Amino acid sequence: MVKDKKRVGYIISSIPTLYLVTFFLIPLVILLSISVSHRVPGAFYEPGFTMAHYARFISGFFGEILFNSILLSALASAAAILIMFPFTWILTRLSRFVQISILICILAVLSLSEVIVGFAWSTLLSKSAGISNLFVWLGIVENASSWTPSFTAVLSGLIYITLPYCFLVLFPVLSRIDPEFNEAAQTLGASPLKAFFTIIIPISRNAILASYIMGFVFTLGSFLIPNLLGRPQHWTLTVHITDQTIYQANMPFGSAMAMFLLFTAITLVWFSQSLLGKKE
Amino acid sequence: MKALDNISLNIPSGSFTCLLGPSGCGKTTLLRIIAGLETTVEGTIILNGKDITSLPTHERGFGVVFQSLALFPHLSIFDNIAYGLRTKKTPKSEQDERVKELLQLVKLPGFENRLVHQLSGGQKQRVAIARALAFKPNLFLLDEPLSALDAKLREEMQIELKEIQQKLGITTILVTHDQREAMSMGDLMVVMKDGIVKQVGQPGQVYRKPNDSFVAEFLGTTNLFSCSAKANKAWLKGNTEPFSVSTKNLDGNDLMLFIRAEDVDILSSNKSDIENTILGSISFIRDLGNQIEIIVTTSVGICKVLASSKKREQLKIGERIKLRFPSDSCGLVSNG
Repeated sequence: MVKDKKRVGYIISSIPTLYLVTFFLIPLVILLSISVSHRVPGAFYEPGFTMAHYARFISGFFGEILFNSILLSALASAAAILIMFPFTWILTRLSRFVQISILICILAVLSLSEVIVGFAWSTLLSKSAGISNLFVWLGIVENASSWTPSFTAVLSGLIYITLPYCFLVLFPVLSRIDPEFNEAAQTLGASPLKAFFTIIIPISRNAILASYIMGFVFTLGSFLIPNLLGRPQHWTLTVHITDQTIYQANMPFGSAMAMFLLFTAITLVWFSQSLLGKKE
Repeated sequence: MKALDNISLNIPSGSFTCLLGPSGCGKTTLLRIIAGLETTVEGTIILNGKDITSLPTHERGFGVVFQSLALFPHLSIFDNIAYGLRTKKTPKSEQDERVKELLQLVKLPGFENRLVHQLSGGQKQRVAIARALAFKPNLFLLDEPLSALDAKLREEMQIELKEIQQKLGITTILVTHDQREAMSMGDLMVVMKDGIVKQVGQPGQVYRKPNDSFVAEFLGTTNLFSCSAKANKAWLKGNTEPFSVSTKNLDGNDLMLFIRAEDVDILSSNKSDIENTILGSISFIRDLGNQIEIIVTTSVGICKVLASSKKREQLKIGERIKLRFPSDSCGLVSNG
């Protein structure tokens, strides 16, 4: 009986294991092997072992791209939290009905594909149909201008797609905070604003960190938004990986960059896990 | 919907007032209004002659102990207690001194650097009290702070809280649903029901002279019997002989005679010709430790009797006994 049960357990758990090995581990090993193989210019690549692609990446131009990608993700997820934290906090204090209505709207944003979001932003920031026309109409600026492609455009797009994810991480945590914490701070002489900064934000530290890391890793892997809203100098690592592997036909270098991106993401997640794991 | 209606309370400075009532009676709402955490549609709150109705919570300067205690989990005990001092911009050296003094007061010296989750229930309680008292508030409000503690610890904390209050002479309002707590701690007891104040008075006085049947029944173990009364005589429904009562000047047909369970005497059934007696049979007996509770079925209804546990041997379920309601313990109340 017990043995049978065990066997069933093995069979059931082997399915996802097999799936992960086939579609995740094996491609990863292939990627790793390509990243150290020799490139054949004008052709493809041949097996071998060289660290040249990694070396090329770390030095100079591509190092800057990595830095830019990280900076962009860091800024986008930070901005998303700055916007979403106060919003979510206020929302959790409202009635159940309002909460659910807004929750549905935010979840609806998740159903939009990155392509639609990207094109919408490029229209919104364009010269012919963009917001700058609104400013002209209001008399704030003289002439309509195009605000895309630019760094700000990429950042705006990235913030937009990160917002609902931030919300999804923050909402359950913030809605569980006992309103008496806030009230206690106020009875002790703190204004509502001071109570928010000295009590609510510190006790939500873990949720803020978790949502920051999630936003960071999520935007680090974004491809379409930087591609649609940025110039090549604003391209993130993911765009460059595509560029190298497909347009430059440099599979080994693209693979090395992909490995690097993966390594960065894993390091960050691991680092944040160890931070979160610490007892308050 | 009105949570509270037509409440007028005058709380003397330096007194310990208990707001008592069943859950949902509005006692916590009233406390929150006093603290400024809830707004009123109409009415005024006056503190030392000054109208504070529209003053925001953080400017009122009242110390509040919440039901959940709401100790800040990310701060040490020192920082928790000093929080109120910091918002009031107290100098650092004074903060240190005050926190030390408060920890001494609540009998937790040396706990400055502990974290909230390292404390027991009773210790958290004391920290919450210390935190609320840190900036010497002119009013101390407590919302059922002891309800989460076990019975023995609760009793200890009741004594300690009362001691602290007396030592500091601070005006205190405590919300509770525990009548024993209100009875033993308050100088003034406010009995509430459905958003209305039923009675205000000294606990002993409220216990002995309840205004109506609700207050009579809510405090202690009470027997209530429908009756009509005229000139200190009450005719209980189901009994022909009138009972002498202590309440004067209350005549009518829709009244209640109340007698505390501990005031009912048990007589041996053969005695006769005594006033205020009724026959009944014992339907239930239970031990309460120092006392026994006997439930007697009589012609006027169920009567609860609290007697010395020494009588346990003499009583048997099903036995017929005679009960006497001493006339000075019988009171009349309106049915409400």
